[in-house]
Amino acid sequence: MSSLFGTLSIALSGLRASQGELDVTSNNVANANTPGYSRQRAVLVQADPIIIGPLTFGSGVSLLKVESLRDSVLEVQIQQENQGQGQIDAFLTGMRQVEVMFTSSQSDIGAQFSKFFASLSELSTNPSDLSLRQGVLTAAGNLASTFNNIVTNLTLQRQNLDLSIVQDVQQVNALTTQIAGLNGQIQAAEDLGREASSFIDKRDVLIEKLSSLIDVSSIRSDNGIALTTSNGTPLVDGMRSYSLNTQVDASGVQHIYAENSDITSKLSSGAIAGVLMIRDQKIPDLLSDLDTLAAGFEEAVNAAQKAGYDLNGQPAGNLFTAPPAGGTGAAGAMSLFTNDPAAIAASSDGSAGSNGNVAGLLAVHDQLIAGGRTPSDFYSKMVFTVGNDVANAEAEAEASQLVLQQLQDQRGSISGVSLDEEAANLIQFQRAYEASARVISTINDVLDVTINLGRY
Amino acid sequence: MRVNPNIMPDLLASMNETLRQEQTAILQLASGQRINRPSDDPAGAATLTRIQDRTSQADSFQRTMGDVQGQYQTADSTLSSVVLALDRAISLGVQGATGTLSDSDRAALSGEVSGIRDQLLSLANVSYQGRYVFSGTAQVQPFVLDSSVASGVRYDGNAGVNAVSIGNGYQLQFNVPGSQVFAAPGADVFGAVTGLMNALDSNSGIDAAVSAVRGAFDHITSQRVFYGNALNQIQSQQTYLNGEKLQLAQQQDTVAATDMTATASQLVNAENARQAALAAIGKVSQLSLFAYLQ
Repeated sequence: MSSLFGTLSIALSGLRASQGELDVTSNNVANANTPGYSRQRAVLVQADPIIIGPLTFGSGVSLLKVESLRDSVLEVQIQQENQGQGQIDAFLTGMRQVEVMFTSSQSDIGAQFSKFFASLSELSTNPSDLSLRQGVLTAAGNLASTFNNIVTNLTLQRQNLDLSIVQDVQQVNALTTQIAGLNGQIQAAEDLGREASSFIDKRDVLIEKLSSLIDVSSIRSDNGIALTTSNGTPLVDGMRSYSLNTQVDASGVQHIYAENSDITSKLSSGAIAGVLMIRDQKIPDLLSDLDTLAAGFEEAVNAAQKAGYDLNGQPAGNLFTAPPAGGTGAAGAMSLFTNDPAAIAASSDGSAGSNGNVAGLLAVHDQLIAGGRTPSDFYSKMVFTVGNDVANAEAEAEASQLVLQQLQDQRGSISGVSLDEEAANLIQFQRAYEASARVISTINDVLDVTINLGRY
Repeated sequence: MRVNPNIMPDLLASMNETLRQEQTAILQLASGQRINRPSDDPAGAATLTRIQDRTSQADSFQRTMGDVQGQYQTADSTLSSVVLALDRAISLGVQGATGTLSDSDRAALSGEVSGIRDQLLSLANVSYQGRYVFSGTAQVQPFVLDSSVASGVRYDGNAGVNAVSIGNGYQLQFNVPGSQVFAAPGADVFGAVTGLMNALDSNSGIDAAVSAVRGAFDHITSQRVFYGNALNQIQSQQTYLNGEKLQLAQQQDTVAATDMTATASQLVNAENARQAALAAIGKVSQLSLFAYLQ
């Protein structure tokens, strides 16, 4: 048989439990917009019953713990999708700048080719006219400087990307250091049997940031969480973080090292991989295509020049400076060999009025000068390649954005704070609190009756 | 099933997307171009550079033809004057062959023929835009008076022939060298006219001299056929290139031009979608159970 004081303590446990629930609700509401916050829930259990003879009495309620609602598998999926998203976003940002150089305009390489051939066509009707000859020289010079400018811009962009890799690596190091610190705090809290969810939430936010920069796979171990890149380079192990560093290699670009081993080519996703892809593949490919085009064109024009005679009746020399052997660097170094309008080889027989060789120069328009293509075709293939890279990346970015959004929706459905839900809980817990308080005041009345029992 | 209570990111993402569509549509309407960057349609952008190159080539061909046409017309009208002059020389010769004429009459006729020779010389040295029409590919005055040669006029030009491209692989002869027009073997214009002058002066062989001038007359008339043909060729090539340019312009439109009606309706759709998203955001922020608890 229980006592009235026992009943009082049951009511008190209810009061305490309700207050705890109100605490949790208030914390949820306060953190409704905190990034990475996982909603919490008070876990109530019945207190151990008191057994007296054949009777079992409940002894109230106890607040077992406050737990966070999160799905760690979902977290991993989000991290992975984030890596892909980070990579494609960085790639897209860089390639959009490249794309500008290949956008159709009055002064793109294609237009400059057309203008060069148009100037030759004009020369054909009056081959000894110095102003028409100057027109050909000017068009050839503009073509060369357009090639030069694009090479300069691509090289400059490559340098900027190089710089951003150094910054990204610094950011990775800052994040891994913080994650290792949080691992320590989580471990310490858990060792004392405390709830570490606020630290875990913070750590998840940092891992998400890290995963948008570099490919991360996480392994849960006894001492918190271990992070490695997908090829196994350790980034964080428990309370220890391993920093990456950058070094300039022989060709003048930054390489990423972990413990003296070069992992540059092994990074497969995250923003760093996206930047590396442009720096190490796309821009070098474009530069080499430009070199092939420039060298092929220069050689074809020079060869056509040499078949004819200049205005002075002398066998003609080069129009463009001969490209370097193998063509490497031809686009950047493309320049006129001569500034003398008389040097253009219009004549096929040495007489000043002959235009017989202009047809030979014009024929370069349809000559397969590089990779089995004409100048215009080769350039249009480059336009296609650049456009296609950007268009594909855009489609991928859109798809990845959708997947990420869905995953985040899923996470929100588990971990997100719903204010309506909290409001409903608030009423429920308030009523429970009020009820427990009411019970206490009733017991108080009953006790009052009991205490005054003998007075009357 | 619990749903994600925080729908703001989704709403913002969809608003971002409609805003992007709106801006794309506005850009396409403003520029009239569906392809504003290669990635808008990579294959289309590549085709576009080729179309632009071919259009520029067709423009060049047409410009060249304009220039060639001027040269041909100058040559043709010059030769028509030559024909008139030779015609006059023939009638003077026929007049001179009449036995009743006195020496002084023939001397007058010979003087007139000499004037015709001077006129022919200046016609043969005609130039178009600063270059001699009948000098071959040489840059010198082609015909010079020179009593040391039999015909009395020396040819300083050469036999060079220039050709110009007026289509893909379509070459047109640009000039006929003066040696072929005025100094052809058996039909030497100056030789015939000088011969007539001498015949009138010496009153011998006038008939033969007149028939030599007739031969030159026929030769020049036949030479004019070349220019007539060439002008016809230019005309038909102009027509062809106009058609090709029209076709290229149509292709360019198909590849790159904005479909105005479709894009305008896309713009309206995007605007509506954005308005709906904005309204939804406004609504969501109002709805809360807290608002109902007093």
